[in-house]
Amino acid sequence: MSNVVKHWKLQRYSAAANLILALWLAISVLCIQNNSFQETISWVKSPVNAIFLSMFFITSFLHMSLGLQVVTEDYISNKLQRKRLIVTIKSLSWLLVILSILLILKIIIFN
Amino acid sequence: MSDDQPYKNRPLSPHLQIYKPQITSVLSIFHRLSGIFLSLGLLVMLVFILLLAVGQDYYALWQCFSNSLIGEIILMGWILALFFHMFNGVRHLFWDYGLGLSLSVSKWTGLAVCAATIIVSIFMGIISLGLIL
Repeated sequence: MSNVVKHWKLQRYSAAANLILALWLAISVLCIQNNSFQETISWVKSPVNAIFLSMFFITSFLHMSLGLQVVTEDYISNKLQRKRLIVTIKSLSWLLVILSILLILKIIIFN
Repeated sequence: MSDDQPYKNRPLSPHLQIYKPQITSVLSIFHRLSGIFLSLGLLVMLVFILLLAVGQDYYALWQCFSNSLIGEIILMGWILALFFHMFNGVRHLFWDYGLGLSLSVSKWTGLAVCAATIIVSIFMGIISLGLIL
């Protein structure tokens, strides 16, 4: 499978996942918006929320990375700048996904 | 840069501001803009988890932000962008299956996306202000 086809398919799969996960998140945020610190911690610690939240970060950062890559390809005409920016977007996305999972784990284990 | 030199004198295709705005083109550019805006929202979501993870004193910073007028306006902006991007994204997924590509259908699905976005966002706003439920 070529990179372009892979990019196209991943963009659609992550969109479908985000359809469910972002909707879940929006409704959840409405429900917990007035919660105290301790209540929010226990919300993150409940297994279903922890799994959904981690999945949300994974699929969203993937979707974001793929989308910003297309935007970069469309508007940055200089080849070197374009390549650098895409590499930055990709590595930053990976870094932030890992950070978000670690933070969720930190909350589950230490709070 | 040197690698772009040979392309300098090529004719440019007419850019966005040349065309008369139409619902199809306007929604297309807003899909992109809302996507970029939502990328910022995702980063803020990560900051929220970060502040929650480092402790109560830092979480108070978040509460300060989300309870301020500016914070609430920005958060509502993200709700609006999220639902627009979501509904218009569903429209894109149908297009990928070859459905709804004709001009007349894509016009009314575009209008439906706008209507759904406004209705759902107002509904979310009313709930979050505690007026109902």
